[in-house]
Amino acid sequence: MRGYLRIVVGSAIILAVQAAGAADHLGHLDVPATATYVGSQDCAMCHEDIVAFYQHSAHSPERGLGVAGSGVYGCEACHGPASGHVEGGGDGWIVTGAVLRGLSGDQRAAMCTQCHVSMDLHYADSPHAGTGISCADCHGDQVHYGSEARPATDFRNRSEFCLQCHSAVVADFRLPFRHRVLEGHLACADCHDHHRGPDPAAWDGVNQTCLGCHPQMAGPFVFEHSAVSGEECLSCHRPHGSHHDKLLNQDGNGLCLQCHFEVTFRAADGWGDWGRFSHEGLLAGEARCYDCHRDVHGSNVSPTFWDR
Amino acid sequence: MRSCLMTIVALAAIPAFWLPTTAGADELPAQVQRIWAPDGDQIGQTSHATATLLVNDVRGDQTKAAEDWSLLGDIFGYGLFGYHRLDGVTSRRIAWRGAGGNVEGSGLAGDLGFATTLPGVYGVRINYSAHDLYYDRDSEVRAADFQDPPAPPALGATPHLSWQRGAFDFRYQVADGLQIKLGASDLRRDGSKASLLRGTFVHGDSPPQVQAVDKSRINEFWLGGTYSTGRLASELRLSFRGSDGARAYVANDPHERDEERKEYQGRLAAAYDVTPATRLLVHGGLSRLELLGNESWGRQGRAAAVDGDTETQAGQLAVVSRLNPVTVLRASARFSGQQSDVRVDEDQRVLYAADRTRDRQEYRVLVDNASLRDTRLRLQYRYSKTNQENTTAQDDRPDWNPGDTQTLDQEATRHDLALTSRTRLSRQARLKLGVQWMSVEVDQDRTWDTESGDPWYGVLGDHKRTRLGWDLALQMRPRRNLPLDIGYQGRDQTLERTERGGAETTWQVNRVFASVNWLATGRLTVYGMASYGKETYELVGVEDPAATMGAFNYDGTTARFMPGAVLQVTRTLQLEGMYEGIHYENTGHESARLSAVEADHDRGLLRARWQARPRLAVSAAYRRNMLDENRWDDYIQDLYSVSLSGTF
Repeated sequence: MRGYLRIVVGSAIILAVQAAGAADHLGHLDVPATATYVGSQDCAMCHEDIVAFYQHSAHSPERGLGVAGSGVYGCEACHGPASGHVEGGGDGWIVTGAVLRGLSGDQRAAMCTQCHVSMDLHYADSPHAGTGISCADCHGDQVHYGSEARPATDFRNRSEFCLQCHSAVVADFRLPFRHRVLEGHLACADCHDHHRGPDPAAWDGVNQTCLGCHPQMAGPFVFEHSAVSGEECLSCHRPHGSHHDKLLNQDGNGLCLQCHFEVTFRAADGWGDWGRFSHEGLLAGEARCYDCHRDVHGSNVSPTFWDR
Repeated sequence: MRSCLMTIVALAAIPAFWLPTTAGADELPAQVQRIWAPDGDQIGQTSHATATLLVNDVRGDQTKAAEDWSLLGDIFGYGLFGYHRLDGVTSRRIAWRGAGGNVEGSGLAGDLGFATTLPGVYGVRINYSAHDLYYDRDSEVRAADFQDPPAPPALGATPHLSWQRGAFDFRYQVADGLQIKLGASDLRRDGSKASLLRGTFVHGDSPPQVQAVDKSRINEFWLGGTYSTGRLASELRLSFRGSDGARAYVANDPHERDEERKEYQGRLAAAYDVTPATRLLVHGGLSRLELLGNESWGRQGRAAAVDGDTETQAGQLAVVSRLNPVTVLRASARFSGQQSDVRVDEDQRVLYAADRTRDRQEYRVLVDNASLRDTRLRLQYRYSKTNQENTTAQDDRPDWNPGDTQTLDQEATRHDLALTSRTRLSRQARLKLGVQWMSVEVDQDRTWDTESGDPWYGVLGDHKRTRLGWDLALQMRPRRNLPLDIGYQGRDQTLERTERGGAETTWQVNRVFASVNWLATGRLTVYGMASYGKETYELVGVEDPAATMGAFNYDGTTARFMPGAVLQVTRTLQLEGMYEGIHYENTGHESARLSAVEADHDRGLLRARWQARPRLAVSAAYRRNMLDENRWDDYIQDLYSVSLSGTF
C-alpha cells in the first residue's frame, strides 16, 4: 500500500514541476489564430448592461479577476480573445451565449472551473458530471444560460434548492421516520457533496458520509459486523426516510435474514451457525434478532454482538 | 386511497393530448409546493420577519405525534426572519437567516445562520442549530399480543434527545490562483432515546425495556487551500476530528460506554491539463483514527478498557479526456488500504484482541457519448477487489475457552455496469433511462484454534449478491404552464449463500411516481404528487416458518397522494389548501398472528394570507396530522396558528 502512495505523491510532484505556461482553457473551441485579448474595458464600452449586472459579483470586470497563470482576465476568461469581435464592431469571433449553449454541460462547467479550482478537481466524479447540466443550472447565472433554477442563496432551508430538480425525493422525507431535511434540521449537502462523488481519498466514501455524524459506528471493533465494514450502511438503513424505526429497510427479522438465513431455521438447527442454542422459542415469541444482538454494528465484548 | 390513485393516474394521462404546444423540456422538472414550509417563510433575498402563535391539540398517542413532528406541548411561539444587505460601494453582502421557537424540555430550538462575502476576496459562513427529538414510549415492533386494543405497556416519561450543531467556515483569496480555507464544527447530543424499545428476553407482551442515553460531542477543525497556475490545479486539506461522550443502554442489561476518538486526516488533490482535451488527476489521502474507551456491561457488572486504532491510505490516478467532440472518456485506478488493531483489557489482562488488514484496488471506465441526435449516453464499468485478513483472539475469558483464536481471509470481487441515457423526444418531452447491474462475490476462508474444536463464531461463508436496477423518467411540458413528470424505479436483488445450496433471499422493488404543477390561471395553481411503491423481501428455497413464528418475509406497499391548490382570491387575499395521504401495509408475514400491518397517514393544510399593508401580512393556518394504524399508536393532531409577517 505504501508503494501506491509513493506513486500518487510522486505523480503529484512531477505534475507540479511540469506545470508551466498558460493553460489553453478554450482548447475545445476553434479560436481563430489571429485573435488576441483586448481587456474587459473594451467590452464595457458596448455591454454596459452586462457590466452593471455583474457589478456586485466576483465576476465584475472592475475586479480584474483572471485565470491563474494564464494572463487572461475578466470577460475574456470565458468569452475568449475578443480582438476580432471588437474590430468587427460586434460581428467578429467571440464565445457568444449561443456558442456556450452549444457546449456540453461539462464543457460549460470547464469555463467556471478554470478559476473555481476546488470544483475542478472533483467534478469529474460528481453525479452531476456528464448529465448535461452545468454550474449555471444550479447557480443561476441567468445572463448566460437562462436557467430558471433559483440560486442556493435564495433559500433559508438550503435543501429546497436541491428539491427544485430532485422533487421525487420529497416523498421519502414525508415518511414517519426520516432525516429532518424538509424541516431544515439537516441539509442535503450535509450528506451529498453535489460537486464531487464519494471521496477517492477515503477508504469508503459512502459509509464515511454516515460516520461523520455517527462516529460510534466507526469502531474499530474487535468483532465487527461485515455489513458495516465490508458493505454499506444502506444494506440495512434507508437514510432519506422509512416507515420503520431507525430508518430500517423493514421491520421484521427478515432484515437480518436477508443474509443470515438458514436452510432449516427451526429447532433442529441448533448448534449450527445460529449459535449454541435453538432460537425457535424466541422467534415464536415474536422476538427480534436485535432484541438480544443489540450491538449489531460491532462489539468489543461479544462475538455475537450480545451484551451479557 | 385507491380512488385517489385512479384520479392521479387519470390526471397524468390527460396532458398526453396536449403535447403540441410551445414549452421546452429543458426547464426545471415539475416543482413541488412547499407543504412543509412554516408560515411566512420566503424564498428570495427580501428582508422579512414573521411571528407565529401556534396551538397544538393532540388526541390519542401524544408521544407518537411528538416523535413524528418534534412537537410536545400545547402552545408555542415561533418566528423566522431573513435579513439581506448589499453594500453598493464595496459589494459586500450580508445575510442573516433564522427560524425557531420554544420547545418543551429545553427552552428554545431553531436555526440561525450568518453569511457575508466580499466577492473575489473572502467569504464567511456561520450556522447554529438546536433541535429536539422525542421518542414514542412503546414498542414499534409488532407482537402477537400487542394487537389493538389494548395498547402495550409504555415507558413513564417521554424520551427526549436534544442536539446542537455549530459550523463555521472561512475562505480568503490570497492572490490569483491561491485561496485558503478553514473551518470548524461542533455537534452535541444530550438525552435519551427509545427507538425499538426492546431488550434481551423482553418481547411479546412484556413492557419495553431498552432505553438509551447519548451524551456525546463531535468537533472538527480543518484547514486547507487551493492553488492553481497554468495547467496545474491543486487542493490540500488537513483536518482533525474528535468525538467523545457516554452512551448507554440503561434498562434491562445495562451496557455503558465512555469513548474518545481522535481522527487525523490529510488529503491532496491535483489536476494537470496534459493537452487541452486531456486532464490527469491525482488524489491521495491518509488518516489515523485512535480510540480509547471504557465499557461496563452485563448483570455481573464486568468492565473493560478498549484501545484501538485504524490507519487508512488511499490514492487515485485518473484521466479525463475528450476523445472527439462528442465523446468523453474517464478512467481511474484507485488503491486503498486499512489496518486496524483493537485490544480489550479486563482486570489488567487481555480479554480480546483483533488485528485486521484490508486492501482494495478499484478500476473504473466511464464513457459519455452524444453522437446520437438528441441523446446523451453514458456507459460505466467499475471493478474492485478487496482482500481482508482478520485475526481475533481471546487470551483469557473466565467463562469461556481461554486462548481461542480465529482467522478470516476474505476476498470480495465486485463488478458494476451501468448504462444511462437522456433523450430529448421533442421540445416538450425528455426521457431519461438508466440500467444498473451489480455483482459482489465474497469468498471466505476461516480457520480456528479453539479448545472445543468448534469455530468460535459464525460467518456467512461464500456468498454472492447480484442486483439489477432500472430507472425511467419522462419530463414533459405539455404547456409552458404545466410541468409534468412521471417516472418508474425498479430493483431486483438476489443473495445466494453457496454453503446453503438452493437457498437465497430476494429483494424486489417497484415504484412509480408522478408530479405536476399546473399554473392554471394567473390566480390559480394546482399541484399534485403521487407515488406507489411495492417492496418484497423473500426467503426462497427454505422451509416455511412455523405458524407460531413471524416476521421473516416482508411485502410492503406504500401509496402516497398529495393534491393541493393555491388561489389568489383578490389582490390581497391568498388561500392555500393541501391534502396528503400515505397508506402503508405490510402483508409479508401471513404466518404471524397479526398477518398485516396497516397504517394511514392523513395530513391537511388550510392557510389564508391577507396582505393588510404593502409590507404587512396576516396569516391563519390550520393543519391536521392523523395516524391511523391497526396497532396502537393512533393520534389526531390539530395545529392552529396565527402569524404576522413583515418585509423591510
